[in-house]
Amino acid sequence: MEEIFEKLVEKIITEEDLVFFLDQLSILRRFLFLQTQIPLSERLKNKIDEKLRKEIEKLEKGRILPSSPEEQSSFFKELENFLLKIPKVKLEIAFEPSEEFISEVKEWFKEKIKKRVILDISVNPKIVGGARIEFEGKWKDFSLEKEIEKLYGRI
Amino acid sequence: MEFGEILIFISLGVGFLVIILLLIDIYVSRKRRDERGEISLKFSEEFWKRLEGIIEEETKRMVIEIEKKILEDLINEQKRQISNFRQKLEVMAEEEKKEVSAFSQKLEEKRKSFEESIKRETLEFAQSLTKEKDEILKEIKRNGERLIDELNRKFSQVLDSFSESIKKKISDAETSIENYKKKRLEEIDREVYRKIVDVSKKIIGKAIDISTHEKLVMDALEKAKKEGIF
Repeated sequence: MEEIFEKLVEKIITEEDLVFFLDQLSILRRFLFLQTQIPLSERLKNKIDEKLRKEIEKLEKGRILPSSPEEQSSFFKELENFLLKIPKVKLEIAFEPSEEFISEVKEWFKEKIKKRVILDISVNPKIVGGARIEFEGKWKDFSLEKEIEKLYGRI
Repeated sequence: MEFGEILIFISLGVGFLVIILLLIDIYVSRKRRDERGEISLKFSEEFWKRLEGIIEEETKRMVIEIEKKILEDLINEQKRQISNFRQKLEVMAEEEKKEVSAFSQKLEEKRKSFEESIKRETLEFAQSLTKEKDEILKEIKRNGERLIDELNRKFSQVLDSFSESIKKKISDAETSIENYKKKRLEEIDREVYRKIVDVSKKIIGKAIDISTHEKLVMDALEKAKKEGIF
């Protein structure tokens, strides 16, 4: 099941992506018990993000998604719990990151740390460069601001 | 009743008694002659009446004379007594005068003595006052000098303490100024440092391009990994 979930949430990289996805799930749940004779993916047309709807359609066709509404509800609940368990990394950086760079960071975590993480990125030009990083209660300042102050502090 | 009136009544009584005695004597003489058989002359009633009138007249005259005599005696006696009394009075007056004179003299002496005594005492008092005044003046002068010395001493003490206090205040003020200066200099240093840091950050921040930023973030992740953050 985790592999299915992993595939479903593959595109979720940042905190914003996560919030959006959870919001889509809450909309989806409202249609689980309505017009059950019609497939869920059909019912969700124009109701949720099309990419997500297509993924659900694939699941339906592959008979991965259960047919009964109750089972569907459990499935999406488990998916939600899976998402909420993904660890978050807070990154404070000095510039507005491109999607490519965000993907690069995600990949770095996947390769170097062997962990799937959600990136909570905030932009603060005052730190000049580098990053301030917080992960599972640990925080460290690797900014240029700190380096500059260290340098002038010595002077 | 006065003494003169008593004498008049006594004189009148004596006069009546004399007349009665004369009448008794005449009657007794006639009777004796009748008894001896002598021829006696017979007097007429008119004669007796005249005789009685004469006797009465005589008696009255005598009484008046006696009265006059008594009155004269009385007056004389009175005069004498008055004279005596006057003499006595004069003597008394003289004595009184003498006494008054003596008293006056004594009084004068007393007055003089009193005056002298007053003068003497006044003089003594004045001398005493003068002496006392001199003493008081000396005492005042001594006290004044002592007071001035004391004041000078106190003033000097106050001045010294004031001077000490001023010195301390100046020292405190200098210390405060020094501290303030130091603090301000530190603040200025900090401010300058902050400005330099801010300017440096801005310059460096502007000088860094996106790829360098990205590389710096990736370096930061590597460092975090090495430090065991993940």
